[in-house]
Amino acid sequence: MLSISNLHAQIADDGREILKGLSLDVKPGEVHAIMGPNGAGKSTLAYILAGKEDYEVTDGSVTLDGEDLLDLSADQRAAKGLFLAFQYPVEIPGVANMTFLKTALNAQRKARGEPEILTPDFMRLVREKSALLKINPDMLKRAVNVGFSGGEKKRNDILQMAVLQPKICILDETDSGLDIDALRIVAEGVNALRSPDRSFVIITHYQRLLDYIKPDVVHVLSDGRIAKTGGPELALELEAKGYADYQTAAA
Amino acid sequence: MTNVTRIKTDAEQTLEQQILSPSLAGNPLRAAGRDVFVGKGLPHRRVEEYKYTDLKALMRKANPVAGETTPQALASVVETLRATARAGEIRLVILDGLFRADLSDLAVLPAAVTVTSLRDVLAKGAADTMAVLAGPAIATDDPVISLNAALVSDGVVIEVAAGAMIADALHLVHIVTSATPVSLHTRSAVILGAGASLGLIESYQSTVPGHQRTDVLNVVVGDGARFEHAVAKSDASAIDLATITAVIGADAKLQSFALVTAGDVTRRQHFVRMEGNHSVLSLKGANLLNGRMHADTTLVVEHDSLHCESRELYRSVIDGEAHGVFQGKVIVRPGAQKTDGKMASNALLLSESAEMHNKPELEIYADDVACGHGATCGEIDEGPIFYLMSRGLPRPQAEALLIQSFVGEVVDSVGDVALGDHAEALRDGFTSAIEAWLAQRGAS
Ligand SMILES: Nc1ncnc2c1ncn2[C@@H]1O[C@H](COP(=O)(O)OP(=O)(O)O)[C@@H](O)[C@H]1O
Ligand SMILES: [Mg+2]
Repeated sequence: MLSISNLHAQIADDGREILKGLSLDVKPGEVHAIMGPNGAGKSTLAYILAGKEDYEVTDGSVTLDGEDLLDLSADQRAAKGLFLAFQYPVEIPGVANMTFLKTALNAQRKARGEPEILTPDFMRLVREKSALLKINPDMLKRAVNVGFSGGEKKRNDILQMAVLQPKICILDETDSGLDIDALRIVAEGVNALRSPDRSFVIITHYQRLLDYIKPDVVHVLSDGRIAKTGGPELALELEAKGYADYQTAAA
Repeated sequence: MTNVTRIKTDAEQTLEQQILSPSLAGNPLRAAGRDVFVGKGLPHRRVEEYKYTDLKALMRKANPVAGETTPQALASVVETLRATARAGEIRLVILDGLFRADLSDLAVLPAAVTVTSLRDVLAKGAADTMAVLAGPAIATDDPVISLNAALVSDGVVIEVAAGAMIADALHLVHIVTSATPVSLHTRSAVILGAGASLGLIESYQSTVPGHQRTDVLNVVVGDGARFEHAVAKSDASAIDLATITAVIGADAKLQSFALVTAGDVTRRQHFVRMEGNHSVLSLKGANLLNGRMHADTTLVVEHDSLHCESRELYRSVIDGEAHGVFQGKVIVRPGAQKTDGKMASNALLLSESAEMHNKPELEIYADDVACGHGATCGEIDEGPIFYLMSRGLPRPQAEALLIQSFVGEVVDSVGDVALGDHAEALRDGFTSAIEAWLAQRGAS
């Protein structure tokens, strides 16, 4: 499904290389966790996959179902089924959450040559998904993420994911800033979306989230590369030992 | 003293000929205006208040004054007016520079509202009305008001009896039928008795671009009265110089909102004097500029009473090689304690060559006041753009959404004071004008 090969990328402004030959293969239905010390390049990887223009890819390739992603703009990637849940979801003052969801869904459908969703169908979809994520109707009327608590912002991003139904979901530290109840709600929301043809890349600093969302594969990202790959036991090992082994490599 | 002959531009020479034309002889507003204009000419960049809107340079030539409406044009106006009548809205028509009682919806005018043409008011010359038509002292030196006085052809004087709450909105429709560019100079007044309430909408229609216009609206808001004003400026005029003056009594409210989406050179200036205690003023607007448009918002707010609040909020979106200007001056006179004033101008620059000049000023002569201003000017934020794009919105759509929300905040205030029943229809109208501007931007 998602295939990253020898990816080298730098910050466009200053040419500093952040990703230094990263490779990763995610098959349909799989959940991959990416863990790693602060500053390793996890968010950078997520942003580059989503198409943020602050970075320049100097080598390597990224494909989704065999199709090159790197030449596509962020909106085209979204329409192809790539979704990024942000480490810091952005506030959009003056745009109602509900309007935004509908605009986004219809923009993607249009890009795929599908007709606009009928309003009753849309309402049903949003009602169902927001109930699952315990998002109250008031949050849907308010401006996107404005005045939301940290946890509300994260749940709101997951709601967008549930409504947009992407093929590949990248979650960047969705657990940070969540209390245990919110964490459980978010994990349930993610688990409900798991299916044989939908894959997940879960970026996290802590093992905690992985108690709730069981990964198939765990990677350690350090100094812009995948330093180690293993099963769920790798996450437990990191939890116990910390990133000391990898920090030195990053320095 | 040396005798310097001022070099008169083409436009100034034409304007002088127009001012001296005998057809305007009967107009008592004219004398003072004529002397000021003939003496000083068009304001230019060395006149402080016109530093960023140099009319001498911007107005290359003066159009001929609007002539009589042809019978064919009149017939088509009648047809359009019939087709666009809306419940809850009483239209007052100014056609080719003249107030037309016959085309206005006077049949449904509430008894508490009196509408008189400016010509009739000037002919009577009642001292109190004449004082209103001259405007407050803070406005008297303005050269554009002088030019308007010297050339004014007509307008409408609206009086609302004390205590009358007018639910229907008055709609001042300015129509120009000329098939070639002309000039128009109109002046109107709104006088609200104590405790009265009125909403006034203004719009502009013309069949060809390139007209030149000066218009003055003098407002008197009596004690406890409420006045709300909303303007859609969407006609492609060459020069549009609109002045609003207001004198506000005690416990009163005034709100004025304007949306500018077209016009080569537009200046909307406001001179407001807060004369009574405990009153609230709100001046708001949005300017959407592209191509080589130039739009200037100039405010002078004078606090001369206790416990008054003034809020000024303007949002500008500037694309292409357009220029925006915001000049806002808040004066707090000695003794105007507990004044609460906040002024802000925010601009979004959409292109490399777009420009915005912000000049907020506070002149405070009282010590127990809370006044502030803020001016910002920046590009569209890439953070929200990426967030929206990552959810599937193509860049132009993401930008349009952010622009709409940027100006939406000021549009949302329409209806807050006296246009409540019309707020939804008005906001829809403003939203469509904004969408039309955005669509044009996307297409270019
Ligand atoms: N847009 C950017 N501009 C400047 N530096 C950046 C930018 N994005 C990331 N970095 C830098 O790249 C490195 C990796 O950051 P990041 O990907 O956020 O790490 P992680 O998410 O693993 O903590 C850090 O040193 C960070 O400061
Ligand atoms: Mg990060």
